[in-house]
Amino acid sequence: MPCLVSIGNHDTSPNKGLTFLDFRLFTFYFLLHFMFAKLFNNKLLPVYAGVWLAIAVVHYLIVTTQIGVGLLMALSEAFVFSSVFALLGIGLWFLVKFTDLEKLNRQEMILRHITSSTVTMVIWFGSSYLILGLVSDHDKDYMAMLNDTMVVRILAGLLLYIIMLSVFYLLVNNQNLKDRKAREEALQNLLHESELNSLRAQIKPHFLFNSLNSISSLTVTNPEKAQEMVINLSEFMRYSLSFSDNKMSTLKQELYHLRLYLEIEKVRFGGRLRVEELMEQGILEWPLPPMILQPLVENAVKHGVYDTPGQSFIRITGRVTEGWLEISVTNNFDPELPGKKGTGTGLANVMKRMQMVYGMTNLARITKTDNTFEVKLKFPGK
Amino acid sequence: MKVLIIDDEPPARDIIRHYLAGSNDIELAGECENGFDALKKINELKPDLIFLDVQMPKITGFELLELLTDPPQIIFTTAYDEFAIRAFEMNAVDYLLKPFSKARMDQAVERARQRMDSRDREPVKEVEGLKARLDESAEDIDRVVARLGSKIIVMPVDKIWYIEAQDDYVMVYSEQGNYLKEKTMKYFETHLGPKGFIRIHRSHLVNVAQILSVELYGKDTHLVMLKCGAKLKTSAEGYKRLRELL
Repeated sequence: MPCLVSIGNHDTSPNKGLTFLDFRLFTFYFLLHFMFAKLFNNKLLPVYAGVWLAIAVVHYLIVTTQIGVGLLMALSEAFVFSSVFALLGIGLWFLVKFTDLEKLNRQEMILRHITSSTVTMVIWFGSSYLILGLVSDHDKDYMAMLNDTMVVRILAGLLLYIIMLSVFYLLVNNQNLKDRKAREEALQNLLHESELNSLRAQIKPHFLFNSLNSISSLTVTNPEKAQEMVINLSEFMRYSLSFSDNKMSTLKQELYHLRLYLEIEKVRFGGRLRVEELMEQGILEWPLPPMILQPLVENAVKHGVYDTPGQSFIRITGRVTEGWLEISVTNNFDPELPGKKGTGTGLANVMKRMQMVYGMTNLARITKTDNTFEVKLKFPGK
Repeated sequence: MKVLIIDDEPPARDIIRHYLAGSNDIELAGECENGFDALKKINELKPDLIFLDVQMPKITGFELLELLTDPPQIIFTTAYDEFAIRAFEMNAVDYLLKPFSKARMDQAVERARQRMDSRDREPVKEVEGLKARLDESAEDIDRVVARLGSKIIVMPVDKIWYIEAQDDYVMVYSEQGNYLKEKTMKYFETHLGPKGFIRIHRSHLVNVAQILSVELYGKDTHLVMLKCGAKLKTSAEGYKRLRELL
């Protein structure tokens, strides 16, 4: 700004007007800056200001070289025309930003922009004209020149308006695209999470009601055992309700809750269920996704005890080979009985979960013999 | 009144036994933990009333029901089985949802007692309705159960060769032997259709996996040769169906 004053000294305009202009431009500049900062509070603001500065420079060059306007007036008009347009441009930005393109038909669109461009041109040229009249102190030659070049100026203004409009639409469109992408991503995450949720082992109503029936029976025949079973069932349910995939469990935790579950099933089926557990030393702290073994054991119980009269066994073994924890769950089944159709979702869900948690396939293997069924899972270490 | 309890879970039997203990006119004839035992005991002991669990190893309560020619009064018990509960609700059979109270059970027993006293020894209407309802269900079947005296034969679907209409019955020919079933061809056609069975004739439903070859026989008929050695004629329509499938 002080530079403007020193340049102004060489101009032909009276000094009185110059100090006045200097003061007004300063105020105007701060006002502009404030509004920009307020409205355009984002990264695009400096770019926008930079573009308008460039336009002002071009404007200055054109009017000095092509029309021969004096230095000070050329600077003033370049500044006034550009600033006013820049301000109106902010209005245009909001018009574009809050117009839902999909909700407007073409006719409404065109009508809207004809109106807005007319209004913009009238305000832009009108107010610039008035300001420059004040600045030049109603210099006759200068005002006559403005009148003469009005059409060209308005045409140039319209061109700028159209360019600005296109750029704004592009930006808004781009922003919308980004927003949509972000929203889609968030949705995807949500989906992933809910998928994991749905893959989680859930307590089967069949198991729950049968257990409750056993408890009902035990309250009469063996109240102490009934109490023990209520506690086991509660503890087991609490674990199964509280786990989340973000938090890893340990083999120790998993085994503890498997035992609770198996204790309950043993009460239901009396001596028909035998459980064997073979764990290598020092593996109990191995991290596991919570409730990952539950469906395997449940499956073993279903195809073993539920469908086999007489004795059935379940064997759970754990050992480490080459840095991987191998857990295997084996059960026997009655080969003579075509099993009722199992939906197989239990095992399929475990495999999907393993894949989602570890990002690897081939972590599960199923081995079937004439009368045994084994599922083996491999878990990487920390 | 002679009562038999059929359930594979000991505590479930205990509570029924305990509830029954108070009644003077009830004689607990026995307890069974699977359908095989149950059929034997029903034949031996001729109970008036049975408590029948739906979910059991070997054969389900419903499959057992299929095998009973003159079923006693039945009170079904189940913990949670949407399919079974729907079937019960659509027929006025008695069923208890586990766990149940003594009062609720007494009510069911009382109803059975009244029905018995009325000497209504016609095949119980409600049970017939339930059977029909179960037959209509859209579920595929994986096995067919049959009986020979007190012996139960469970035939996996893939071991069945073909099924033949015989008056009011059908004969099931399988690796395990040939057994009569009191069901309709329509029933098997619906439930075995999705399992690779095809109706080649009004009176024959064939397991496609068992077909060895199809030969021309006469003008409009063909002969289907099965791996088991059987030769079955096709009807024109049956042959068309077969052609479409093969």
